[in-house]
Amino acid sequence: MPKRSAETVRLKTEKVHLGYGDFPIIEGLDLQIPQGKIGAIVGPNGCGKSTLLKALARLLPVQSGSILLDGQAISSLPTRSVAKIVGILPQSPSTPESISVEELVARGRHPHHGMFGGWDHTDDTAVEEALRLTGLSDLATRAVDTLSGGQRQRAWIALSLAQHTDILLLDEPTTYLDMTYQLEVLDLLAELNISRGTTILMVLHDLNLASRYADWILALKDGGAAAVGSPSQVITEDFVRSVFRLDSRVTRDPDTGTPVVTPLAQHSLAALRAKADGAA
Amino acid sequence: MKSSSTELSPYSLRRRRRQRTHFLVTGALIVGAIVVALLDVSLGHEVYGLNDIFAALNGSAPGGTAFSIMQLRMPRALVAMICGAGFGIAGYSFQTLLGNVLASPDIIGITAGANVAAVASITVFGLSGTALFGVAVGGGLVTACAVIALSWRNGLLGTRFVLVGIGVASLLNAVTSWLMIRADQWDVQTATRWLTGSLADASWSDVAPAGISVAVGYLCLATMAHTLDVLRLGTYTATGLGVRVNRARIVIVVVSVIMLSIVTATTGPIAFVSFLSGPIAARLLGNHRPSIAASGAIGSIIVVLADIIAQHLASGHVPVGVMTSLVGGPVLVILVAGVLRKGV
Ligand SMILES: Nc1ncnc2c1ncn2[C@@H]1O[C@H](COP(=O)(O)OP(=O)(O)O)[C@@H](O)[C@H]1O
Ligand SMILES: [Mg+2]
Repeated sequence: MPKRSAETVRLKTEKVHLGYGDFPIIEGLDLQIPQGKIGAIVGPNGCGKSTLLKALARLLPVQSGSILLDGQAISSLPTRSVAKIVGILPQSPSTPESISVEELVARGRHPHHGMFGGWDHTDDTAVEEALRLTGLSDLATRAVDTLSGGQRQRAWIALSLAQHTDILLLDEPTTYLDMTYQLEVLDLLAELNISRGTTILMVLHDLNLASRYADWILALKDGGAAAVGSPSQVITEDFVRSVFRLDSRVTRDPDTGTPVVTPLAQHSLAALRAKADGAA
Repeated sequence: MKSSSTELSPYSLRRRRRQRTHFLVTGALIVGAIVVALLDVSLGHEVYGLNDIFAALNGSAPGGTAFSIMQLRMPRALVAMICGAGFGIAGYSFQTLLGNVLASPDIIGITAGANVAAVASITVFGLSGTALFGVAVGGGLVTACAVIALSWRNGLLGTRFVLVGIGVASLLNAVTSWLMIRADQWDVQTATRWLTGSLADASWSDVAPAGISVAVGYLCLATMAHTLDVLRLGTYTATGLGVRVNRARIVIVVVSVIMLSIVTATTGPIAFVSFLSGPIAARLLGNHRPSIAASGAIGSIIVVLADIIAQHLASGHVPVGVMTSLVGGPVLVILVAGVLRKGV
């Protein structure tokens, strides 16, 4: 763990055990989420990335240990107060039939209202800003279920932006998007971090993008954390081999200086053809 | 930021326009419900005008008119209005909570559960009054919980829930028929009141209990209107937005089932009103507007209109439930066909 004594932390886990029924997924994880930074959770499929993110957003109860928000167990805080501080975009949210983009985004204001609504100017501004930041102003009246995958994903991100939380957790916000949209979404999150100081923690599959866009990376493998640290500390050839069981070469991106993972040549059509020819 | 309030952004203009339409349409529906109720009072063997109705209300009408209006027609119209609203509101809250128009309590077996409990209480245990009533409410609640539990899968409810509910409803209806066959002649008459939707017995003594329960049910659900809307985004998103999901679901189910059981006890199950009201409100108001009041008003209009048609246009004494079935049945078939085409 890198030293983070100077950083403030609002959300952290202490010896947290997570799982479903008798089946443990994460055992004894201690994690401090530094404020104002962008973090990425990486790890192989099914290792518990979504499970951890859900627990951090109190969507899943802990089996033991605790998750603390501002020093208090998150499960003991009023859920509406938590919703003003921590926002979560689940992995595959369900979109109600024929809801329009702006009505979906407006739902993000829910935690800021009392029982009877009481919509005001601040809410209008928040919704408009979220639509603008996600480039959806022109699609605001379209039904979400008629949009492309990338636009739909941005509509859901816009809902999270309208929620105006200090901490934002996103589960695979770039999955199903083409490369341009992936970069657009990550640019948007980076800008949000810069302009509002929002703390971001997201699950990403692409190690190269995680390296480009995250201040710190948490790598999970079965049972818990495999590594925590800056991208260049975490993403090494040994790491990729032990966590992803993949032989690779890790180089530096010539422009950003961040790690780039390239699988070794044996994982290629040319190498496999050559091998088949050699055997024949 | 612009300081002038006249320069509203396109989003806030659209939102205001939607809100204005929402209030206007809801208001118009409530006025419409009152108008058809007045029509129900005025029509009959003798046709009375508004002046007769007001005279009867302030006690200055002649005896025959006063009796006809105050003792016969007024309670009937009021019960039709109140119970229609109760059916409509309960239907809307179930359909919204479960995210499926087919998930209305009359289709997924909740009404059937209340009925079977009531019929068993009457024919087997000889209960009546409050005890009978409590058992019926309990039957509705247990059925609601059973259907939800049987169809629960990672919190995702949908067509599966509806199919399970329809299965449970047929099972319970079979049990009810069996109970009726075994029952004493005398009990059958009492039990029949639970099973056929009819306003023929409506009286002033029905107005207060039904009215209070629908008013209380409406107020409870109205405080949860936004929560209900956010629940449509799924368990995780709703929790993330600060909704206590399980508590909200339980409150909505319990309040709706109690209200529904009380109105069902009053008029019998008037077919398809719960099922039709919400979708009609959604058509008029837009799909994602809280439409509890509008659904209630539409429920009232449907029941009162069906009662007018059943009494005056159809020959003989057709129970009001038969009229609503004539409309609701085809709509159900069309919707189910649509769902099946889309794939279960
Ligand atoms: N609701 C659930 N019930 C039981 N097991 C689950 C549930 N959700 C996930 N799991 C299991 O927990 C493990 C971790 O899942 P998850 O956190 O979704 O992994 P990922 O890292 O791919 O996001 C997997 O083995 C998965 O099968
Ligand atoms: Mg996942």
